[in-house]
Amino acid sequence: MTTAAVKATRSFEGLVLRAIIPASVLLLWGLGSSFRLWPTTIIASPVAVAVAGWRLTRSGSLLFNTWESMYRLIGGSLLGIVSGVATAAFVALSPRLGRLFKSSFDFLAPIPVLAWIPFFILFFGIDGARIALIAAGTGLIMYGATLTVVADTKAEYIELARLYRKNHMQVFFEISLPAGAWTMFGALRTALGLSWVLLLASELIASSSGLGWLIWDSRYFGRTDEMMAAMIWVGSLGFLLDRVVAMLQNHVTLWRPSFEGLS
Amino acid sequence: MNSRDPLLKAWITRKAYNGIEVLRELSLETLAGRFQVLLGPSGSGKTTLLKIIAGLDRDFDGQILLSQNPVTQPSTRIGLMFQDVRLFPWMTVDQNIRFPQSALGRTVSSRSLIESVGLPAAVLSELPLKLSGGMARRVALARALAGEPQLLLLDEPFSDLDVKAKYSLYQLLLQKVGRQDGPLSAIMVTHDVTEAAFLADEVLVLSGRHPNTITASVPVGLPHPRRVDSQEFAAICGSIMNLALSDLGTTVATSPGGSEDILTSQVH
Repeated sequence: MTTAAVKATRSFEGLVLRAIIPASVLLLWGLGSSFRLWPTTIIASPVAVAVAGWRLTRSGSLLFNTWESMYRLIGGSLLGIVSGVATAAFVALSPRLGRLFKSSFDFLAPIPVLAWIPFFILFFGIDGARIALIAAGTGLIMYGATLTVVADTKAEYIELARLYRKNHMQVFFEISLPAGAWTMFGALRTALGLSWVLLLASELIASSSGLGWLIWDSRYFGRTDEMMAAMIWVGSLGFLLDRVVAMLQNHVTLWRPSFEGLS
Repeated sequence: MNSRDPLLKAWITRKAYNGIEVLRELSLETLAGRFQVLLGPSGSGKTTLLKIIAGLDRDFDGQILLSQNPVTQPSTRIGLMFQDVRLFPWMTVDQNIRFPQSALGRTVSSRSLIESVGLPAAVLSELPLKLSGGMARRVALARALAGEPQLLLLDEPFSDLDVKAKYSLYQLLLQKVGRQDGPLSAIMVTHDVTEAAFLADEVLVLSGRHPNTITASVPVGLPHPRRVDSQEFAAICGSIMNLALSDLGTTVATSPGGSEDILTSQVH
């Protein structure tokens, strides 16, 4: 068998393996609904969910609420990534000022992000609070990851940088960040996952738009089919977002020897 | 500077790590265009000495002068090739070679450098992951030469290469270094007696007992290309080996017919 054929077979096998569990769940869900094993007011049938999804799409509600959520998610995440990395860079590059700043920051960091919601609402208003919440969650993760990759920078690389008289900033951008790209992207994926959770949580609490609101609003009016359609859409978007970042992660870190698994 | 003045003068009265003296009363002079090899067992301070000369380690008593100017920090006039190649795996070969560019304040022609170390320009776009051990060494050498240094420091540059790759790199180094009054001098650290005798104009033997110092200097007057199966070569390898082993109070016999028994000898 040629290499291309082996790759195609493996790719097909992978696809089948990945599809087994979702297909089984869908099958059991469909069978359970057909045989009325549970009330459709609690779990709508797959067909009803698909129809509800189509209805939400045609009415423009899904697109509108997706846009509202994505705007908050992307805005908050970008703000969090930039501020988290910049703060860590500041702490790492200016040891004296960093120490002064770090102790205060480390004191505030353990306060759960959700506990900041009332404070954020007071300062930024309800919509601004959502973005601030996501920024705080993402920022904390990226801050920690950046400090980790700086601390993990190999002494040999630092020595080489000293040989060519690189300053701290050059070491940070030319060595620490690229060397720790895998860790940084891993943190980014975790941060985006958390952002998604925080976004939905904030939209469930106080909102009149967004996917979190759509889920809560459908539940409130007893439209389980629409609620489940919105949940599946949220899951799909989160999955797609993670895949895009994972592809970027793999592309940026092509220089790393790839790990094929233990078997 | 007079042309007869040494390019490098190093005096190290004391160098210690955590209170343990590694080097003491060490004096070293390198003439322009000469190839010196430092031979000594592991832990004898060879790498430390190179780092001091390169300006990377300033925590010692003594002075390093390059062209009569004190070396107080790394300078582009001194190139250093580390034992572990230290190519940045995320950078292409081109980016690795141009890494010193910001320190030089001018553009580095990676194309001419890569060709000067015997690799095709096509390699420039490759990642280090794709290179063989020998190719990676050549790239590291190209980077060390990027600043057009007067002095090249080589820390066991061939330790994990096969014989063919080693020989090919020997030829390359001899093209660049070892011409009297030439533009480039080199100090190389190795464990390998044959390698030392094959390349060096002068072999310096480190004592191997803390605190270390240079205990002997063996001039190698044989013309290049050197024949490793010649009697003269075997005699030189034998003398270096005996000097390296003198601390143990033992010597090796050199066979008059050749140096086969010495060719694989190393000082550990």
